Amino acid sequence: MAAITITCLSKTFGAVKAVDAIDLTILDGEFVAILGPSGCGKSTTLFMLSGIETPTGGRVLFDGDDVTAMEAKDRSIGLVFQSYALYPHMTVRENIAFPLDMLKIPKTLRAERVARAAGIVQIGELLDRRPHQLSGGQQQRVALARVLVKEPRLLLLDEPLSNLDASLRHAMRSEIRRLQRRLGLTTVLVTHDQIEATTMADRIVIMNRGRIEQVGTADELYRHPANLFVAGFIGSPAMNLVTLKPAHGEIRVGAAAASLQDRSLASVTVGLRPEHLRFAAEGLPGRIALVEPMGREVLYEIETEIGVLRLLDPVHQIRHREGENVSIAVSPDNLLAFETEEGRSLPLTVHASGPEVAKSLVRSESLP
Amino acid sequence: MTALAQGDLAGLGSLAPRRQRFEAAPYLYLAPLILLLGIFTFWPLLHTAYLSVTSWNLNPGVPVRYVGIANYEDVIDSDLFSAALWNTVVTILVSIPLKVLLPIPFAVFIWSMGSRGEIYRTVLFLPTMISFVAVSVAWLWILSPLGGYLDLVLSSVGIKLPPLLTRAETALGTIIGISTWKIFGFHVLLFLAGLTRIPHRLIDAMRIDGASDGVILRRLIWPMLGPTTLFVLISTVIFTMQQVFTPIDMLTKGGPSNATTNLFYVTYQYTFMNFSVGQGAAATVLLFVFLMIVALVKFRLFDRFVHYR
Ligand SMILES: Nc1ncnc2c1ncn2[C@@H]1O[C@H](COP(=O)(O)OP(=O)(O)OP(=O)(O)O)[C@@H](O)[C@H]1O
Ligand SMILES: [Mg+2]
Repeated sequence: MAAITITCLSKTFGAVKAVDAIDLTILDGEFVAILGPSGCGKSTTLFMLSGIETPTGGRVLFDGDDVTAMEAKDRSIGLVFQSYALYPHMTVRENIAFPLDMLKIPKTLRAERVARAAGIVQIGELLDRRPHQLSGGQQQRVALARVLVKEPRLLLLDEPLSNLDASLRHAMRSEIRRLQRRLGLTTVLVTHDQIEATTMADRIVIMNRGRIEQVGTADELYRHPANLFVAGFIGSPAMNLVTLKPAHGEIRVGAAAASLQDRSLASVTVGLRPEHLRFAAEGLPGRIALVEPMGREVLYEIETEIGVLRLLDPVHQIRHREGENVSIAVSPDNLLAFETEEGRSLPLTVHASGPEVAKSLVRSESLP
Repeated sequence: MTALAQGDLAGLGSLAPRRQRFEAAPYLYLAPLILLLGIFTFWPLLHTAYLSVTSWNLNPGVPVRYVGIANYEDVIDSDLFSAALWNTVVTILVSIPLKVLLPIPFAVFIWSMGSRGEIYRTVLFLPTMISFVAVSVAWLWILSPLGGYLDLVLSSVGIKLPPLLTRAETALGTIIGISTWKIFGFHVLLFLAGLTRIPHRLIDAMRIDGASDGVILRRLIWPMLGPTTLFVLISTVIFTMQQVFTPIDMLTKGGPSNATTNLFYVTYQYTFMNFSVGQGAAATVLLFVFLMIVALVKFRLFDRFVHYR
């Protein structure tokens, strides 16, 4: 119900740059997730969108109107706080009804809407309790109901599902998504759970140290991370990052080779996703250092000449024991390269595996 | 399994029946406290009750005489006591808005200033730290109609300061004013402590829910200050009379024409100014009854208003 544009938005607390000149456009009705490590400025960004923190620089536009100086109460938004922020002296029912009270919704309509919102988050039987009589997850759902009830033009969610058990979280995720679609709510979700971000959001914003590292769909972030931070942050288990010395602008891992545009680079960081590595008859030799069964898959840690690599084997049986010698192969299409210092992504041109394969194999025979 | 469970239960004295056996150790630990309470609280209480039915003038050479309820009749019928009762009620009623309610907006204001409010906090708290004797003397000088500080200020604009403390109509009000000035900062501080328990996020949440400052004050701050307000209310009701003992004794001695005495001061007047120990004791017992009633009301109120933690 509102398109959001933020330009050069900043917030400093004393010497701390909590948010550092970020630009972002969110389309009307879009669901955007902000993903990033703890303390990277996610909550602060939400607070500036909601108007409870005043930016120290930059502007916030709702539907093209500058709302940077507008008070929170006039913005018609809903925010679920990381800390829930339920009113302790009110019952659950009064908590959920409070925004409607402020909107001067008639009493009869109010009860109906409170019941509906409570139903969505499955807290219908808790309406007469007070917040301190609820578990963390129940409080979180009350907080959700309190924003859903008023159908705001912008929905801001600060880790709204962090305290729920797996099945409830799953149910809430799809419930929020469904509701968001139906009402066409522009939504910003803050989380540090990638699964939550990838399953719910249309686009994901990766933040780090108050800056936006990359904005894109889950697929774009996974396949084309713009830098080392995003590469390491997206994907689970995390991407293998190894530093290699390119020879004549060419990097190789086992049989896979690709060339860099810049032939002068002395060192690059190569990214290999554990799920892209395979055991093969020929390839990069290594020795199994650790076996971690993960249920459906098995994660192997393998010592190789280029460093310790993690390999996610989709076969759920343990095929190799610790200490065993193996060979690893990777498709050259799955290689990613980054500047070692700056961390920026480097474009790669893929070669077909040629005679170099044998050479690389010979070289790695010297491994213990 | 079951034997173990029963064994566990037996350990929980409150759940399982336990054989009653006399244990000396707990009483031994309690003995010093019981002794002190006995000597300094319960014995004087009982002795006061005894004195209230006797006649004695504090002179050790004069025998104590049993007179039954005559002291109570005398006290209740006396003009002094009814003036004290009336002044007490007036003082309490006037003190509630002045000492309980008025500090709230001050506290909220200072609280909303954040760390810039520090200086106001200190200034308001200063009177609390000065001895009430010194405060009384200072006010005696300030309010003196003959060249007092206030008189000097007022006469410069052509107003004659009336003798506030020696006029029956203004004396009680002046005493209440001085005691309010003395306790005000302390109460502001208590409310500030209460306010710090309100998480700032709650105010943000209300803002986002569309609440104006007035609504936040009424629907969030006021109810969340409930326990503090009740505490300040009760301590005001109970301690105001004790608190004003010093300024009364220093400034008016209960006069003029009993205008400033109260239930607390009157026991002193009976005993140490009229040397009528029996009447003083009777007044004390009546004061005790009054405070018991206040305490009962207090418990009722606590149940009613302090419904959350
Ligand atoms: N009121 C404040 N005063 C000072 N520093 C602050 C304040 N609020 C946030 N910060 C700092 O700003 C940075 C960003 O904080 P923010 O709360 O936005 O992080 P976050 O990304 O939400 O982290 P988390 O995932 O742990 O909730 C942090 O370094 C934090 O210490
Ligand atoms: Mg946060």
